[in-house]
Amino acid sequence: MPGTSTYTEDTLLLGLQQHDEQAYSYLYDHYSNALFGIILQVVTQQEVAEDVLQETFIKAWQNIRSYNPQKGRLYTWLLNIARNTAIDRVRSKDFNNSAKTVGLSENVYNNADHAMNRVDDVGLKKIISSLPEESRKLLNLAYIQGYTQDEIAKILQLPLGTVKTRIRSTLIQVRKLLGTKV
Amino acid sequence: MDLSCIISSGELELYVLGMLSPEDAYKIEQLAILFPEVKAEIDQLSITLENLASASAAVPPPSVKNELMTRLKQLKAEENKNREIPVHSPTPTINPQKEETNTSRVIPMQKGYVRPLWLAASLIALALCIGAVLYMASINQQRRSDIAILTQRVDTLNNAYVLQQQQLQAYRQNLEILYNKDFAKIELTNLPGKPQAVAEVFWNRKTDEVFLLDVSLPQAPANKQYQLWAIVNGQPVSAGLLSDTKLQAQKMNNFDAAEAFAITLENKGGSATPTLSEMYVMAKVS
Repeated sequence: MPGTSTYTEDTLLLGLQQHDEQAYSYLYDHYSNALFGIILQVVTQQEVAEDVLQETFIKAWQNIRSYNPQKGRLYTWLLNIARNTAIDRVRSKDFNNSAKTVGLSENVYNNADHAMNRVDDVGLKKIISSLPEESRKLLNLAYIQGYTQDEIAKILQLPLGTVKTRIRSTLIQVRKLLGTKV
Repeated sequence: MDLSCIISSGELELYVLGMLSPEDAYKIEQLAILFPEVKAEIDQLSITLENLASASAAVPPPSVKNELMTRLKQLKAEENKNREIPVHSPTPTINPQKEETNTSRVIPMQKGYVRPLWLAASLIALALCIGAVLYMASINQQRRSDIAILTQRVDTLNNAYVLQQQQLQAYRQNLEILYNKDFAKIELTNLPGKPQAVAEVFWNRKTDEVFLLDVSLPQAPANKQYQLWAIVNGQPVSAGLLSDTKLQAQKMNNFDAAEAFAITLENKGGSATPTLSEMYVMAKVS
């Protein structure tokens, strides 16, 4: 790690807004592992994930002035960029051609399980595997695959309202599990 | 304020997962601005997902960072170049707006101008309220004038009714007089040289009551008034002044005896003795 860990939240944000390379280096050192983990779960291919990770930080660079710390956390903001960039990549024509994916809804499950297996962290695997089957699926569809509420309702053949309440209970479960684990 | 309905709605979870439409996400952001409890819940959910990400961290190869830093250096250089020549903007990647559309799925973190949702909602409600009040007021106004018109009509009808009742009463009394066999009818007719005129005296010989009916005399001048006289033992005795009412039998003074009745035109208020030259009608009691 470069000796740049002296950033406070405010000075980091200022540096990011001023497009100070040191600030981005610090940002990368701090968040790239977590972002890469999420990206990998979405795109699954190592090379694509690396590309998405890079794109994530470039987008952060380009959009940092629209980030408002009062409205959301920086980490969450980065996570959303990473996740959305990865999801967009999965849905792009290029990706589908090269990845030779199966039917989309089928892919959801395979992809999800695949992704979970690839993640080294035993803690997460434990957390995910300790969720009920339905919650695991929901978390994958909503968070990893980025499906809309409508799409999830169709895939899981559930009423719209049920999807919403189950997503909520899933996140409550995750929160509980993480509370004891992390 | 009870916010449990918002917090337990599941909308906040959809929001942090980026599953809401931009409009709905904006609503949630406005709620978060207005209610710290909502903001705290969103932060909690965000932290949950952050922790999930931290727990699933994977280490990318160092080449990614090297490449990234090189690209950022390039971006920085282009930026500086653009700052020097502000007329040209050759690199579209610099344009944050265009980039924004590419990353539209990123939950927008900033909307320049804050317009609380509930403020808008309450303004709309207020406007509707005012509209309703004005509408009711105009209806009320209309009703009030309707009521005024109806009241006036009722008054008019009531007056007409009272008048008719009085007339009916008068006719009934007239009829009673006419049909009562106790009344003697004395028909007064005009004297020679006087205009055509009649009046009927009804004299009850049992009760001595005297009524005047069917008076048809020339219109009296403003300062004059007709007066009825009874001739008793050759002497005229006033039986009273005539009123303007013509329909109703007019009750005059009682007489137990009289030889004749006559009407003269006197000064307003009547006279003690009749002006003979102004005698219009007369009749002897048969």
